[in-house]
Amino acid sequence: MATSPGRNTVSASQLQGYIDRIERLRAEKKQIGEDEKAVFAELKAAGFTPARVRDVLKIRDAKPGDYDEAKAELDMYLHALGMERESPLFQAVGLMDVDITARDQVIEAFKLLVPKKGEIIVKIGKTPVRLWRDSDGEAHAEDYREPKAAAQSSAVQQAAQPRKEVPDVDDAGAEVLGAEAYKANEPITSNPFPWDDKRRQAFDKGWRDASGTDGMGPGGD
Amino acid sequence: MVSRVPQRLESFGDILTPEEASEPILAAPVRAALMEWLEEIWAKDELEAVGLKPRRRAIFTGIPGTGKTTLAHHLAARLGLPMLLVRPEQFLSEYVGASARAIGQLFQCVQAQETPVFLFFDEFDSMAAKRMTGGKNQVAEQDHNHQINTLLKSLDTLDTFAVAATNFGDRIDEAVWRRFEIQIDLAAPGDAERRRILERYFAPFMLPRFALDELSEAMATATPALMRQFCEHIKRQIIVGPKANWDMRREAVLVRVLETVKPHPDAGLPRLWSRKLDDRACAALPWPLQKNLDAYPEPSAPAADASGVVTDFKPRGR
Repeated sequence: MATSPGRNTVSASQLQGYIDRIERLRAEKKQIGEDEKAVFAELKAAGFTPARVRDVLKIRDAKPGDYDEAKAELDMYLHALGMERESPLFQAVGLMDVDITARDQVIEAFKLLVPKKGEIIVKIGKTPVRLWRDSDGEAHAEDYREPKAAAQSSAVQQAAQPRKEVPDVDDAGAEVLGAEAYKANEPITSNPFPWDDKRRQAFDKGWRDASGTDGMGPGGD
Repeated sequence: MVSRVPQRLESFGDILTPEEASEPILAAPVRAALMEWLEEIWAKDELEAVGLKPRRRAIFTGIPGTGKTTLAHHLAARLGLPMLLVRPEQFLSEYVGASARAIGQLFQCVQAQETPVFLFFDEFDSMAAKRMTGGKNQVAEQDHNHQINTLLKSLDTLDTFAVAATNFGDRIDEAVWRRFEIQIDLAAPGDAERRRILERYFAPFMLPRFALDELSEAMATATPALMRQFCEHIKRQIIVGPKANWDMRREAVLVRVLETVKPHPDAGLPRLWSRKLDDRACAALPWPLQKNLDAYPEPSAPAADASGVVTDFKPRGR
């Protein structure tokens, strides 16, 4: 404890400082609480349900993993009690006598539900499972891997798409196009051929030959 | 029923398209090395026939503003590939192990693309600093070392192109450095390059050759970024000045520009900044700037411009 010099007691001014600060903060807290109430009143007046807005705020506050976990757990509990409103498929499985925490049992239950034609892909536990029937009508299940295309980034695809139409020429033609592009004052990167097309290099070469440079700056002056 | 959204490539940085690339302006030896690399990549099939692979990874070092990003983007554009500009903050985390995981995810995500992605790590030293054995803060050190090990492993298996850039080559972990097969040091531009840079950034205004020569000489040791700021600030003054009623005489404009555009104190002062208005490059700058070379008065006869200032420039040499 801090004592003021020369006196065998606490420093009143220091203590007063702390108390003042805490009181100020509490007043602010109160003010902020009231402001928040006002926002809720406002959104209620606008027709929103405050309770649902609070739910949304809670979800936004949580880490994504925590939220997913809580939701999955809730689903599981509700499901166990038969209170879960789920898709007919899951409901059907729930009504069967299966332990839904045992993955094998769930898969077996789903096998009964596989349509004659077509297939279903369900997430059971953490990994998705693909279920289908063969020509003999027997149901099969296998772990399902998402095809690579699913992770394909649309921005990358877009960026890789050539903006212009790819001209229908051979290597020599592409070289001529490159030279023409240089003469038309277009940059060397205006190459219309996609990255894995051999003509892309021909265009590049044509541009370089026409300009006398390597496309990376002024010529040798 | 736990859903896990696959990490999207965009969440690791910005994707730049080939169209957005601009032409880099580089000194001859660097250009030769890069051209060699491009040719090598294009000769992939021929190389594979004899059991060789083209090199895939390069690291650029150099002081700030020497055009490392521009260059990487240009290379990606020459190859016709989108470039992912990896943001270093994506790999920072308050949790132990999260950085390493994020690096793993990035590489996984890149590998999953159908079209190869040209990876560009800017400020690479923040991601690949040397492994530590200080023992002061073991958790942090272990975590960092783990991150570097993940990076090493990921780089080994990466089959697309990657370029890293850093201002501090000496801070990069040695094993990471070795993973990059091409190491290029980008120096400040030479005389011809500086002229070209000035031309580009003064556009649409054009300067006569002798003025470019003088200015380029006075700007020796300046970085492209500094020259760009200088040119763009002059252009900004030309646009804004008359509206705001500023003094638009050449000397006044140059004083304002040189006062606000300055090289870093450690970068060394180009002549123009130490001599300022006394520099002959200032006297050689025709004023007002024109968009057409023919619009300048004949250089032999000193002419008075609109504001009454004599532009007494004379061609030197050429």
